[in-house]
Amino acid sequence: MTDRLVADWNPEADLAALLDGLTEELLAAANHEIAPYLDEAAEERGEGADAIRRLIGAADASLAALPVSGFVAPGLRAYVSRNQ
Amino acid sequence: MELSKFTPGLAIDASDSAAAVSRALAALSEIDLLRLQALARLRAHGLPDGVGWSDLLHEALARALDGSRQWPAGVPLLVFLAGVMRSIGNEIWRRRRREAGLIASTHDAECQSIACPAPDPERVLAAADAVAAIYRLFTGDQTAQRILSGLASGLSAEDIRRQHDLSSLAYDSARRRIRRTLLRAGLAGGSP
Repeated sequence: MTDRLVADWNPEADLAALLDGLTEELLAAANHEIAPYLDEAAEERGEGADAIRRLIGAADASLAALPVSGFVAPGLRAYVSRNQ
Repeated sequence: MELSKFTPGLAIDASDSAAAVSRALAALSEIDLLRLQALARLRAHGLPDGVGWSDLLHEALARALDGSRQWPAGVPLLVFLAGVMRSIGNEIWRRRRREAGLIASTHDAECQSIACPAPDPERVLAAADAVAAIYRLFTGDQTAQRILSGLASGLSAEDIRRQHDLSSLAYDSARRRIRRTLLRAGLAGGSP
């Protein structure tokens, strides 16, 4: 972005490529790079590993409660439920 | 890549895939659970207002667990889930656009015919904001911003290094700073 003219800028394409590149960085991060945040994530935001386990449990439970065949648009359960 | 060592066998159908995902999720380490959260926070950049990282992750998990997205053999679980979140992000925008088109068509039949080819202004704005927010994380780190610029342009690591005359050491060091900043911002109090 910094080296190109704003007129030529395509934010959607840039964001897509940037997110792909940064996703690879997170996937490549060594365990010791993530470990320091184990306690911080839980203490500062209450969003540590336990929160992700609860999210996994909720996703599993929502399937039991609402079979996928019952969705008109099976793609967007969370989005639809939050926005309707 | 230090991802979960669990890899599925050859998935024959959706239920096999779903069962394999369920087992692999249960076996994820705390580190990989945090990595998954960081991936969701990153992938939530540029989504419409009101759609958060937990919505995105929940949806990806639900699709993997119900077998509607099948886990390919040999692909690490987190790589698979990151890909599912990526496609869901695109789908959310397509859906919103479709809904906007349908709403417009009820008022003006000509709107629908001209609505599709042009870029979605809301998505463009959200993307611009998201790119700016990511760059802001690296204010003061010119090397990191150059690497981000290269990634955004789809350049390879080699191309980025050559373009900015970066040594392997400088490049790898900046990548570590990028990872650290992303993790700190995503997991310990930042905005992403």
